[in-house]
Amino acid sequence: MVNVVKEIQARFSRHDDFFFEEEQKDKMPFYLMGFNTLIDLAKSNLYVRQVAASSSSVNELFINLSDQLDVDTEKLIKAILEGKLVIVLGNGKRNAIVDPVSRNLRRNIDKPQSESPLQGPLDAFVEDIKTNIGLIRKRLDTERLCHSSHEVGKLASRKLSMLYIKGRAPDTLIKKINKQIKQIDTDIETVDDLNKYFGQRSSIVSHVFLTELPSEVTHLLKKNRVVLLLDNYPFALVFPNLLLDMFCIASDRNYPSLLAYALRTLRVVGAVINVLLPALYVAIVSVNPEILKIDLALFVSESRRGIPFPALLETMIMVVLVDLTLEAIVRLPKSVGPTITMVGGIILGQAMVQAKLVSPLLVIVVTAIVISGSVVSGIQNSLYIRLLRYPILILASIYGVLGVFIGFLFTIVYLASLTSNGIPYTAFRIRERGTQNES
Amino acid sequence: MKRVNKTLITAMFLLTFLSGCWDIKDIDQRNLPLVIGIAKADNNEYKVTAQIPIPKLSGQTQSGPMSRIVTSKGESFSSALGQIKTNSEDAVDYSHVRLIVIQKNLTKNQKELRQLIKFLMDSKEIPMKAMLAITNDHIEKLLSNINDKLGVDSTSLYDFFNKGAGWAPEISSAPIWEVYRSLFSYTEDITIPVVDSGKDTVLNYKGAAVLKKGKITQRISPNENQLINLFQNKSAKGKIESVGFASVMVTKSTIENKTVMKNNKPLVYSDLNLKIDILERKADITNNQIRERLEKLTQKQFYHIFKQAQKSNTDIFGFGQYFRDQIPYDDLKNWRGKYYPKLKVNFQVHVSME
Amino acid sequence: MSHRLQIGFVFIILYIGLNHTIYPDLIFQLTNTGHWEVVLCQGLLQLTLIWIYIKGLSYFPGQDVIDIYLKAGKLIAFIILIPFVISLTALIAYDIRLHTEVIISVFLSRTPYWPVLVLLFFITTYIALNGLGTILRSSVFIFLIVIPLMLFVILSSLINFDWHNATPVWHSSFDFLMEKKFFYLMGFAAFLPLGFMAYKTKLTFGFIFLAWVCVMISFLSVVYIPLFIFGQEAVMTLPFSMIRAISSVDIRWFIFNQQTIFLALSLIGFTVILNAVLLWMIGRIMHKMLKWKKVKTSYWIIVFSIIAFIFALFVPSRSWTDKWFLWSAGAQVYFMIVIPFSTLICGFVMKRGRVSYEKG
Repeated sequence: MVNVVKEIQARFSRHDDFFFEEEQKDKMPFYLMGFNTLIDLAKSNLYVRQVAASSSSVNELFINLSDQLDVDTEKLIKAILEGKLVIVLGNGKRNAIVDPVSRNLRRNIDKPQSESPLQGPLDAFVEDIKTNIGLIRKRLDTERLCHSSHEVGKLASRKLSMLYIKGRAPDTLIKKINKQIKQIDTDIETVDDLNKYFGQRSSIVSHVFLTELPSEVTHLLKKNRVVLLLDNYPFALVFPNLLLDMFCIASDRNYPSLLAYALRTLRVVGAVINVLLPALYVAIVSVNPEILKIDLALFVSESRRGIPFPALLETMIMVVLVDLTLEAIVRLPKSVGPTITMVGGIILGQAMVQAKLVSPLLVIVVTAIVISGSVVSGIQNSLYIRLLRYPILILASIYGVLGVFIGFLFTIVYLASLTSNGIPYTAFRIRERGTQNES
Repeated sequence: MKRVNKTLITAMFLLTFLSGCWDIKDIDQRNLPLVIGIAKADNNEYKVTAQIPIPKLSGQTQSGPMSRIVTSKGESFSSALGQIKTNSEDAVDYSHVRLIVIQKNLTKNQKELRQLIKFLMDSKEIPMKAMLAITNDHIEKLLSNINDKLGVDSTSLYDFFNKGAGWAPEISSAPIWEVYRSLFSYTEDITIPVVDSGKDTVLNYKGAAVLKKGKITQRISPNENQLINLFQNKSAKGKIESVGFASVMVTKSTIENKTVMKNNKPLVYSDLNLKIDILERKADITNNQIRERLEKLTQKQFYHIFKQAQKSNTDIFGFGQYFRDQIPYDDLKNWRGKYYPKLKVNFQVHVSME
Repeated sequence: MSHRLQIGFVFIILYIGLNHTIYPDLIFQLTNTGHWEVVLCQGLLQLTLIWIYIKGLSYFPGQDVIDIYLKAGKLIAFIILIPFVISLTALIAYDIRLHTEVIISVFLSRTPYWPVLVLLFFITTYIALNGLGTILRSSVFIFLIVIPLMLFVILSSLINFDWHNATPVWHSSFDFLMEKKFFYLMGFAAFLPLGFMAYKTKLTFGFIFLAWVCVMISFLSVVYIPLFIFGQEAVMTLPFSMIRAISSVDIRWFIFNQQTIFLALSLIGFTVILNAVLLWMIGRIMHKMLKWKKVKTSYWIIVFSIIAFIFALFVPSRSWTDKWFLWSAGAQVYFMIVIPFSTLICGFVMKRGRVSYEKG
């Protein structure tokens, strides 16, 4: 046994899935090493033997098997960790890293899980980064689609790919992102870990827009954005995240433009309703009833008679309950989900009204916000919109309609103050374009 | 910057604990009076009566009074309003008042009426678009009549004064701000509707009172009031007129005014075009006869009111408005005294058939 | 959205934020007839000042007024800008106080002053802290939200119009030009912030002229809506006549009882931006003038907003607010004359200096 092999074996002594096999060619022993959890051992073995049979010498075998020959031990160890097959000659003079037959640890390309494109392409990203890039390349067969890949992380390295269209995405932006990616010195486990490197922001709005749809990504690439792909993460991260992404979906443009605009307006209205409606209810019921026409005022007054809670508390209870239900449905296994929905629906809708804990009008309001909350694209967007309504709700309970308005202004200013790498969140589009020619 | 923002936001949330520091009442804890009646009590105090609808408890289907009448007295109007607030078990919110009925005995004092209207206009609570009306009845009787017949169906009161052309062109409405405007205007006076409690219906329309700078100078009948409405460019569509041997319905009306100023003597040429539809007629009556009769009748009616109005120097037709650009502004304030008595109106009615 | 368009929006917002409260009342006290002449006179005078201002600024591309004064000498900068800061603080204080009164009269009649003041100062300070970029961007959104509301309010008020009330249309003499109130009227202008935004983009007169036309339309509507509704005789007796005029409107099919809330809300939207811009100007002036390293712009903004808040809080009554607001507006007139002319002169001198330098 040679040093190299011993060293490797020592390194992996605590790994029971590490295999070490001996083969021979021309009486020269050589060793195969790797993880049997990542490598399909039987098939890889067969492959090596076949190659060995067709090669005339050991040397030729090594050349035939791989073009990564005679590397140092550290690289070999890294290759093993990455799921490669390592072959070392018995005397330790030669070694090679072979691409083995891997175990199938990937999902097939499937329908999107968190988005449902209507009348649009139905494929979605998967965990494997190469498949994802392939999905994009297939759609954008231009040489101007650039791809730079990085490996980031301290403990475990992770592949990170940046895609952009040369001549579309602003050069300064590409430079800045490149610099920021190079600064990464911790592990990137989640999108939020990555977010930190794009500028300190203790905000509810992410720097990147997550999407599962390759069609959406290609569209955004053409709109001067930069797309980041993380290995083992079935979403593309579009940089920067803009307010309008919430309302404009790429598959809209499969409709006639007038219809598409109507849909987008509807989404804006939905978002605004979702943020303002509960607050407006509180404002009108408890602070400014005089702004309603008398018929409506009397109707509201009638529906609230005998309800023990003040309006703010009543609304808070309902809104929180609804948010709880929404969260519970996501968490629960699919077989239990409908039950919760049903029980929640009955309790929230029927029982609370009959017990005179909340007014029937509020139930209508709550229904409206549940529905309107999901019209925007992107789960994160709909989450942060849901969060925005709480401060406005509290303001409304103090200042009434004024509070609603100021709260809304506050939201607008807050969103307008966000920037990612100098690009404001509220920009309608990225106007600046990069240069086409390599300089 | 970031730290500052954070402290600011914390301060903001501290603010939220202030909720409830001042008087915020939920809508079901507020009484919303719809009609307010004002009268002079015998001892020269103000007597204010308010009609307050009581919302039904949901699920309850009882019939019976669904609103109630609250009365209080006070040295002034505002103190009487305050009295109602104190005595009521819930908070009283006057922001939904739609109609303010003034009993006749209060309208006799010009100064007091002016004061009242100014108060109503400046009041932050009572909306300035509430209607004013005058009644000959006792205010409580009128209100309890409204109460019995209407209950909470409040819009019907508003609709009573705003039926709109095509339904009842005789009725005039006088929101507070218009009355207030007429108190100051050099060139325009206003009519305030007079109502009584009706036997079968809620209110009985009794014509209008002409208000000149807070003083009632003249009473006019519903029919005459329609003419005034015509001059304010409200259509007389839907009005049914009886001309003795036939009855007709006005389907369209337009009015054109031409004004001339000759040696400080104002002159108005006024042409009223009516389009009519004959509903019924006695035998042997021709269209022409009806037409001539209607023209004559209307003209006569006009001159009758106009003469009376001129006698009391009240410009109910608002002719002065047309002369605003022909008289220097400093002279406008003399319109009622100097120019209006000399005003000649050449009123022509042109009737055409459908 | 280009900066120039954003600045145009801000320009309109600043003006509208100023002119809805006391401005029409002043006009009605100033003249009985021919109100448009007064409005136009005042507008044209301002336009001339704006032209001079832009002309002066165009000598210094990429620089704002503070840079120009600092170039001319620190003493000059101090003499002109420090009083300017004080008058701005007063203007902020009384403008917010005035609008608090509008709010309380329209929808929070049972709320004391200070919570509303706290709220308004909080939001203005927050906006100012976020800097000019945020102000410009958010003002576009606020503009797009508020302008439809305002148009709706204005159109709905048409049903109460009596066109005869605005006659006589002509006013032959121009004696109002000499009155003190006309002087105050001149203070209702907000073009000075333009010079502080000049570093963002190059200002062109044509563009500002378009915005000025919009502003003039808004000025006229603010004066003529109350006039058409109440008539000159009655309108003189009503404070906040524009808001009163709108509250007389009654639309039957509409679910809301008062159109006034929409007007008041849009006013608040505009006022908040106006005061945020003013606060931001103060912060920028102080920061550039006194270069103490540790003191950031944001601290100056907070300090001055607290000072303004204290001013606003201790105003004893309505009549005081009106008076003090007028004074601070009047003080603005002084700067409206001094700052444009001095920039123009600076520009001239510098250009000459440069030319002679190049020759020599």
